[in-house]
Amino acid sequence: MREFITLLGYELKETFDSVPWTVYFWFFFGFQYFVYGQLVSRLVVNLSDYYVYYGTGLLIIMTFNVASWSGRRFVEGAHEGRLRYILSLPIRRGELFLEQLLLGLIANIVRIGPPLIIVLWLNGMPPIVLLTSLMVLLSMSVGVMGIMISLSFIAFKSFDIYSAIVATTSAILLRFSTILYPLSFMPNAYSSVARFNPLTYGADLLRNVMSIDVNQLLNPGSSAFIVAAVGVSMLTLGMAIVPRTLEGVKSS
Amino acid sequence: MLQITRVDLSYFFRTKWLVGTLLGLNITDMLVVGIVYKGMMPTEIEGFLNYFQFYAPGVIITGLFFASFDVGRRVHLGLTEGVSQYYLTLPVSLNEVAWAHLLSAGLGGVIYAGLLTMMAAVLVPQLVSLSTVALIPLMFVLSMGLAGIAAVLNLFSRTGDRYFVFADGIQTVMVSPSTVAYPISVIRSYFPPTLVTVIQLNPLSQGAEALRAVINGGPSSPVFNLPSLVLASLALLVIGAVSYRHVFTKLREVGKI
Repeated sequence: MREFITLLGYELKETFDSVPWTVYFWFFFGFQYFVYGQLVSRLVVNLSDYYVYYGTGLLIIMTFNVASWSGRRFVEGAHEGRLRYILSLPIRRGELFLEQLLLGLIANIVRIGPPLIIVLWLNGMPPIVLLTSLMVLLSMSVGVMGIMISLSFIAFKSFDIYSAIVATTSAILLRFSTILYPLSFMPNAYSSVARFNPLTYGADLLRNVMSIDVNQLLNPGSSAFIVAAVGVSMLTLGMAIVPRTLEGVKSS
Repeated sequence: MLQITRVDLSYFFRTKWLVGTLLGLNITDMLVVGIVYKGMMPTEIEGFLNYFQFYAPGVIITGLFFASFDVGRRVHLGLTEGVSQYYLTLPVSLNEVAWAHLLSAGLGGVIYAGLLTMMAAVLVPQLVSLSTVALIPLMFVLSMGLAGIAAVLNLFSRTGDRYFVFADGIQTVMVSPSTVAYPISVIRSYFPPTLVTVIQLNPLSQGAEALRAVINGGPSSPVFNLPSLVLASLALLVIGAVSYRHVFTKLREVGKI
């Protein structure tokens, strides 16, 4: 346990040494929410109060970005040989995986927390919603981190190709989902794809817990089930793939 | 100088993750976000049949900006990995090294925007016209000018991640307050007049409006101002050339930035 805490403390310090990135995430939120969101919502005439809808979508985008950043950072560390050092420390593989997960969640809370509070406060939502929203966002970030880490086997063949695949997948996942628009406004071909996208269920679940009244939100029960299932399965997959892959890691 | 330009340009198109990111972002922005928003917005936006027609030029100009701005990343890596030091040992002057990078940025932006224009032309056939071809030199100057902003960043961000944070920040600051995604009438309803003027002068606004003028069949845009676009691009280009000259001079004299 002592090794676990020491390693977590060390990695947290390293993560938050990069102050400009954390500030950038907040800066990005500010511009997107108070400039892009405000202006686009004035153009949207077929959905009432699109600004609130957009605000929740932006929180999901930020959660996705922060979680994929955490996942990619882990894979990058492995690729560059940093993880070989950590593997040589007297810490069990399971604990190491848990430590990485906790690190990602803390990074998420710090970066997503202030924007979430701003969105809830500006929309006059009760404090209890903060807890439920945070739970949804963290569950989603576990799934996203799991996806990024599970794809790590590609990185050990070519980090360039891994980055290209992750970037393209991210763009597709974010656009083909209900993050920016409800299913009812998508052409059939797009909405069929969006129904297979876990981010669609995460976004609709977040809107459900925030009691945002949008027609045709997906059922909260099935959304919660899918978000949890993706989180658990990606975690399990990551736990299965990572130790096997890491033991044979070659640094660049 | 042209050899350095060629190497730098080919490095941009050979960076798979970068091209993957840019294409993924721009194509999905155009073909997914643009098409879905079309159904959520008014049927006519400032003389355009629908939002997609209005938005496609904005995405093309954003792509041009991101592609030309990438020269800053290449120079940053070149400075940290010793490639720039190697260039300085070649029989070329400092000015030539600086202009080689700006030239490759200009070409990269225009080629990439050309690819996006061809894709957009499938759904917006008005883009297939001689006016679009006539715009190429203007887009080239704009692309080189936008690279000048990256050069200024190279001048001020010396170590580690800082360049990438500043670059992402600048991209956000340039794209959101522009007419890339929304018409000037909407911007006027939210920002005070002084800021509206700044947004109108934003080179990305001017570039997007130039392409919109092609779709509309004439310079009917209330924002487009050719002298403003050319002067702003040239001013940024000069600033970029001076910045890169300073960067490479310092690198030659001190050995680092």
